[in-house]
Amino acid sequence: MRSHRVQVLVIGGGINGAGIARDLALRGVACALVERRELGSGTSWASSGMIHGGLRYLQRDPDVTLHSCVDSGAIQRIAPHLVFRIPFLMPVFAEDPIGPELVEVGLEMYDRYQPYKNGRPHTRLTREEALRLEPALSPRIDCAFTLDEWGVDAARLTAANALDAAERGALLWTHVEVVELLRETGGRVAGARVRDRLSGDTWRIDADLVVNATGPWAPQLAALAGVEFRLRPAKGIHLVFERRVSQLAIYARGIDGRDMFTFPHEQNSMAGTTDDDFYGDLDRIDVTEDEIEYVLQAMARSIPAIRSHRVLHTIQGVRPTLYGFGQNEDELSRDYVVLDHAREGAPGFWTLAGGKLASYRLMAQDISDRLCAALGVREPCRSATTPLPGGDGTLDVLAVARRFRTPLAAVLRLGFRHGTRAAELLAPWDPEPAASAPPPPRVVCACEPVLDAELLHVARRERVRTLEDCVLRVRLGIGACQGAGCAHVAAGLLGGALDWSAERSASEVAGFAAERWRAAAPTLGGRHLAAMEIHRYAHLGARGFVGSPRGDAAFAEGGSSAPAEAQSVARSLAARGDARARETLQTLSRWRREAAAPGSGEAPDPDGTRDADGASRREDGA
Amino acid sequence: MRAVVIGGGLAGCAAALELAAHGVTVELVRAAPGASALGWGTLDVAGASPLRRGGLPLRDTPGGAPLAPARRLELAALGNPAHPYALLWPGGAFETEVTDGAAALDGWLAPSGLRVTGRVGQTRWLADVHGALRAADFAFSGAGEGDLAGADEVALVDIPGLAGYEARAALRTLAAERNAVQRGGLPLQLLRLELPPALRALAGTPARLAHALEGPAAREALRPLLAGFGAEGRLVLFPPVLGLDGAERVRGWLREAIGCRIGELVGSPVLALAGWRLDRALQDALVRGGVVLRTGTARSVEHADGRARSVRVETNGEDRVLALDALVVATGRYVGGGIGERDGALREPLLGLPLFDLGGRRIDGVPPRRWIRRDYEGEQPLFAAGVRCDARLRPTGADGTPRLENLFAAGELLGGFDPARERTGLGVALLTGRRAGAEAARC
Repeated sequence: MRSHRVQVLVIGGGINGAGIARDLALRGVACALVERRELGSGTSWASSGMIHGGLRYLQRDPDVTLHSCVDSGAIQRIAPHLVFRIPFLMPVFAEDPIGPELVEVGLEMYDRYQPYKNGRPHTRLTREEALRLEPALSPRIDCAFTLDEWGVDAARLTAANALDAAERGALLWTHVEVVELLRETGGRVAGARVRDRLSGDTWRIDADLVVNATGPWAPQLAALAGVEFRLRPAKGIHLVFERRVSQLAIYARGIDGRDMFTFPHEQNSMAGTTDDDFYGDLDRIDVTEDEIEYVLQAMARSIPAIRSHRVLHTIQGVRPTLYGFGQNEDELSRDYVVLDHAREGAPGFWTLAGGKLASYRLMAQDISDRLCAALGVREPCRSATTPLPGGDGTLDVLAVARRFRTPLAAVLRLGFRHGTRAAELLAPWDPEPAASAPPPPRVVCACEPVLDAELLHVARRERVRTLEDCVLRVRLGIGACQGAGCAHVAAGLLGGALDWSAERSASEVAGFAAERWRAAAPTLGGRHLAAMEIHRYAHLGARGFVGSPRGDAAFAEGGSSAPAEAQSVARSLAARGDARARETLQTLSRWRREAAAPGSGEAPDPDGTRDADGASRREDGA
Repeated sequence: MRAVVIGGGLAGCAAALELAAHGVTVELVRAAPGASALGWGTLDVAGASPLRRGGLPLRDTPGGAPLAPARRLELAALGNPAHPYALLWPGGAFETEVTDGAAALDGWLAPSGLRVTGRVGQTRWLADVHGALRAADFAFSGAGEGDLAGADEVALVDIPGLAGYEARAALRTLAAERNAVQRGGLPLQLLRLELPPALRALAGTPARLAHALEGPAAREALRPLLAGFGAEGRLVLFPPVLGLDGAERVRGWLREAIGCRIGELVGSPVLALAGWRLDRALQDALVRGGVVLRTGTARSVEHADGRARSVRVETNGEDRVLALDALVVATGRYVGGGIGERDGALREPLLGLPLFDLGGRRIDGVPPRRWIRRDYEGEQPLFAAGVRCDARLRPTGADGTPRLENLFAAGELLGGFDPARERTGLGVALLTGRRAGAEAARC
């Protein structure tokens, strides 16, 4: 078995794990980062994508607010391309239990934190002013307040941290899971045996220290080390609307009094979030009708027309909230912990859990300081001052669009995701010298838009390994058509860059389509039904014979309905002496026999989720 | 006698032309091009599907000979008593009707240069822009000329920069598909066509490129680039951008310039010009057939004594009432707007007809998302949903009897079939459209 030797093995490629790996790599510590799916695909992607202080936490957790605000400022410095300002509007209704005067007291307090994150102080608007500013707002409001927050592409922020770590020497593997933790005599955790979920390869990583940064999965990983560690995981969902439902983010109140909001995020608006204790399977988090209705009901009070907007899909995840008993989900602390499990008989094993996206860097710094102390490394933390990849300047989007003959809208998105590296990414498309000029970059996904140049870049340089990885990495296929128009072409491009077989490409497309269905289905209605009707034609109606379990002999188990029914119809016709019907009857019986015979093909899959995240589907990539 | 047809897709047009052929005065109301205008070049009556469950099979035993489309059709009808095909052919005598239907459509479209090719007794092998193979029965000019059967070798034309097309990946897939359907011996290759700058600038917008290819400038610019494309026994497959209205001309000079068989690949949502051509040719056929075309949205149907009397049509905010003796609704499903979510529930908005799924379960009146199944590839009640009819294609009410004596339905508005999984979409439209027209003419 091949093996690698590092000082620190970080398990979990969410924002925390990626942040730790980067922090350590910046200090010259040899480390490895393993993620069992795509970077940021767990809680990080499911967050609201905000690096805000959290007005909500001011009451119970002022430390959380302070940390988040300070770190928000730092993220803005190291990744200016990934962040965007989100002005908030907080409407006050006559029936609200807390009147405008009291609200303003809270906001005045919050104003003190704003300078840390380059936010402006709040303002108070009359009803008329607020409605002029945001016509989508309910005319029933009494008055409104503005406050300032920041949004970020959380998946991209995660990837930027992990990729920066890799550029600085860290080992980085995605779609690789921990099979077991390696123990020395005396119980010391000294690394892990890992398995590539796509190729099936296994290898060992020996490490002086092992960090558990697996978010809600932390208790499961801790159990591998024989350590009991409790969280109180809480599920949260967001609805993602097509385009923007409002210009500003707007506070809304749920029927139970909880604060939620709808906010512009990238090309869309999002609304959420819920906060409910989660006891289910972390690898299969379903959205319920109740949750959707709960969010829409809250939003409708602030934005009456919300239900006429098209919901594209949902995003759901589980927060790794610290354990507490006897409190409501909302009252639980958003603080974080760093645990050295030496006292529990697992020296060398550390856990970072809890916390907020906004304070990821500070948390990473905190645990890295302690890890370095344990390793005897005396390098200071540099993560607050060293720019992330692409964050070292400003991209001249107009010049780039002109030079590479690319639509400005596409270059803007490219600049947003890749910062100054966008120009470097486009270099193979340089129109000079004119003699050998390639055609300009092509828009593959029109919804967002995504360029072929970007897809090839993330495949070749950013270690994207599956088509689904591109959902997070470049926001492929999550717009109005949910991948009806782009999945095949994107798979063709990735397949060329990553040397996929036709079977692999076909299964990547099929897996991608099924995942988009699962994301869109819970809220499916209205005009989106038409989009998904086309989606089915594009994916089911155009499926080829490659990659189908039975090749071209992939017969149905009896036409479009139950074979028994066909058989009874055919039987009655045969009884009337219809020769063709007799033949049909024979065909149907043969199919039934074959379908029933063991080894005749794939067992029917009751809910079509052979594998929640498609691992077995892709074993062919070996 | 006056008839009104609501819906401008293939089903509505077939009904209108059939009515006109019976000497009936017909008005066709359409809000927008029907879902048929999104078609990709095939007319699937009973195409084969490799899906694990629910599609019609290509062969009935592994390694056996492919089933003739006619057999698949029969299985579709027999396998599901709620299927529109089962309504059309309770006795199973469908082969002549399918052949007649295709011939009638060919007759309607041929004056516009669009032909229907294929036979119900023969499976044709058509490749799509991503390289996947279709075991299809009928297809329109362009895609229909791309049958792999009979070719000694096949060449895909790579047009760098064309939206929605990645030729190298398509070739990779086609090679594997060819092997999967036991045609492994067929040689494949790629021919690169570097468009001159003026055309290259249009490659990101396929419809504009297709239009430009119709002009003499494009012809003269491309002719020298096509030297060497042709070879004895070779089939040269282009992405489906060979012209719009003038597609026949474009294929004509390409065939002449290349000197061997040429065809188009079956399209995709991004390359759906075949549907555009069909829609245009259908409109021409309606005009030739004397059908009055009205743009507008049917808002309500007035009825008395169990018969529809008139339909109220809204055009740009103005209402017009069309009196009628027979009414055919061919308003489609979600794309066409024939059914959809209204006030939070699944409904048929025009007449409030009850809706049923594949298994005959009533599914209207509740939020659509209640019917979602997690398995994308499995049966989805929402996408087999539609109205239920009697043997004369008259929609039935909740009590199972025809809702109105002179009301008929056709196309995807009918429930009981899932066209994407079954590959029966335009086939059902054509055959039920013709039948509904013929029945309405008897009113």
